[in-house]
Amino acid sequence: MQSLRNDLIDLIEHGVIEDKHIDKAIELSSIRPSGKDWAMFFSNLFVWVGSLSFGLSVIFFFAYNWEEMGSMTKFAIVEVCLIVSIFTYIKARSESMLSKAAVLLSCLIVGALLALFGQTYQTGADTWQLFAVWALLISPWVLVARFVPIWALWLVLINLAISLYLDTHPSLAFFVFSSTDKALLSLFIFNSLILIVWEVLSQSRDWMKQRWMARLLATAAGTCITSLVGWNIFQQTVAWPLALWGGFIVAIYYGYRKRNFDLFMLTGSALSVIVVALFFVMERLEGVDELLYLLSLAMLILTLGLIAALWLKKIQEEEV
Amino acid sequence: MHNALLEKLIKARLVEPIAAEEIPKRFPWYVKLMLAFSGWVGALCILGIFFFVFSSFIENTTTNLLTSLVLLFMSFRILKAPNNEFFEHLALALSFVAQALFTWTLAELKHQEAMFFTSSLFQALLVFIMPSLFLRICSTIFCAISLSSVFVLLGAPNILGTLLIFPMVWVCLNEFKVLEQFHRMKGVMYGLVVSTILLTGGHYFGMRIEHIFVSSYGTIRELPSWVSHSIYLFSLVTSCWYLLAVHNIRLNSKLTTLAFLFTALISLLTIHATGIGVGVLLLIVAFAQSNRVLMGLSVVSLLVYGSMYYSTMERTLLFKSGVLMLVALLMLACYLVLNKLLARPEEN
Repeated sequence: MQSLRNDLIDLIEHGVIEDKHIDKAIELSSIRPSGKDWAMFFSNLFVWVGSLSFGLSVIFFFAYNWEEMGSMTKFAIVEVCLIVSIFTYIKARSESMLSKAAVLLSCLIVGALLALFGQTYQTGADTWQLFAVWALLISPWVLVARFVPIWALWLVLINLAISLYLDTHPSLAFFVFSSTDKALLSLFIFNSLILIVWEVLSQSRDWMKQRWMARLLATAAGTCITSLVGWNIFQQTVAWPLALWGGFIVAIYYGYRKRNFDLFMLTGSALSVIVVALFFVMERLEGVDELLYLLSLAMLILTLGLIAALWLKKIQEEEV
Repeated sequence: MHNALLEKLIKARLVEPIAAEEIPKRFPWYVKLMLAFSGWVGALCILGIFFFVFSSFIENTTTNLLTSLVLLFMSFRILKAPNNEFFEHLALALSFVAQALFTWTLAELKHQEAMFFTSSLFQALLVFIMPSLFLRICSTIFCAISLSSVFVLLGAPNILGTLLIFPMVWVCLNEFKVLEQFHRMKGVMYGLVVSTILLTGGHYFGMRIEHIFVSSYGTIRELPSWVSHSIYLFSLVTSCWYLLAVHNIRLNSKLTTLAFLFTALISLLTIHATGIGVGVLLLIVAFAQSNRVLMGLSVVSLLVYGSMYYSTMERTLLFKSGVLMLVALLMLACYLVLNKLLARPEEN
């Protein structure tokens, strides 16, 4: 039975439950697991802790003997692990937790194999190529698995590949911005596009409906654009990033206030506004008397924080 | 506000229906995080102003002490008044600065043992007085770390962590015992959990937590390691007994025998890897109270300990590999025994 622990704590903290009724309330909230729940719990505990201990034991053992192992042995170990995990994925029941864990593990082992290859043969390839090739090789599994954490892994790899590529090739011809601007702008555009595609596709696919992925993408895009604006405020070339940021905030407000309500997205946009305002005032007051500087910042953050709190409370109540 | 338990309580006539109207809706965690960020930035600016204006006052021990008490009082007043997370974090920042000032004042004391002991008493007092969950948790942790420093200076390292195991279990299983003290118990509970994990969890960044402020170099006598090992064994077995007692399991039943056997074996196997034993115990206790936060914390502690265990220098990788393999074999054996027991018809 589902535990109502959070409800119980809420009621205790508001003084709704009296002392004499606490035992009955605990019973009604199903906090204490049943015998069947305990049996299931211990079964899972033994399996997971045992597997984790076994896995770590094997890793520690190989680490102890790593220097003495030849390169063929090292490759053999990693490739056997990869084959076992793929085999597990194929044999496990479709859509089961075991099959999803197996395909995720396979994706991670591909990365380990590429790293081992790079370490053993010293090909001289750039770091971004490792992540790009890794993302490319696991793409078929990502498409087939329909498992959101693997998509998250794939997107992290692409983000890393993009930022490392731009770091390695700072004088790329088709952008005229600084290297910091290029990296942040590219990541912002990439993550925003993926967010839009994800939101559209998730309308018709149940497995994509988990909100955390969209929120993660929005956080990535929001962090990039806020950092871009902040960086340019201090470089005094603020016009175009500010316009882009403004468009992003308006789009977030329209999309998640008017169309599909999501308080997380609105909270993120409020935080972005506070941070940009803070950077703006910091830049404008640079060199001014220290006391005035701190006082202005304190007043600004207190005012904006309060406005944000009141606004979020109001829309939360409206949407209940 | 929808509260499924409240509906059950109203139905059972334990609570009046009007209670449902009076419970305000809380902000979700991400809104609280945003307000916390704003609150802390605002607080740092205000503190900057304060220290800029009154910088000459804090060069003197007495004024340091007075300033810290004033800041603590301000923090207490803000926390006591009904307000939102924004002001709560403002008050938290004030409180932390006050505690830092007070601890700085204590550095004037001649004996380190006296300094850390006074610090732990001060933190314990804050747990009792300050009306904030986060402050209570932090004060409990600081109190434990200060006390562990005293133990180290007195030649008793690795003791406090193992001593805290049973109190931690007791508090977790009795969190609803006295409703008036629920807020304090909650803070102490999470504080004790984090303290026990940190103190039994081996090395963090190449150093044991209890040696973060002090070293045992120069202590005349040090307790032998079997003392802390014995306390660890005893704490785990006592915790097992208490868990069974809370669930009204008879001492002379087969289940009790198996539970004690499992506990004794896991304690012996993890005597040089106490983070594993504590993590598993915490997971079991958290499940007993359906506390997902604690369950998450124990899983994270096990994973972090597993990574940190790799880099500890006290034993070779081969030894550590052996310990982990024995734990894995014990878990497998227990899994097989459990399956066999479940397959049998129920016996008394």
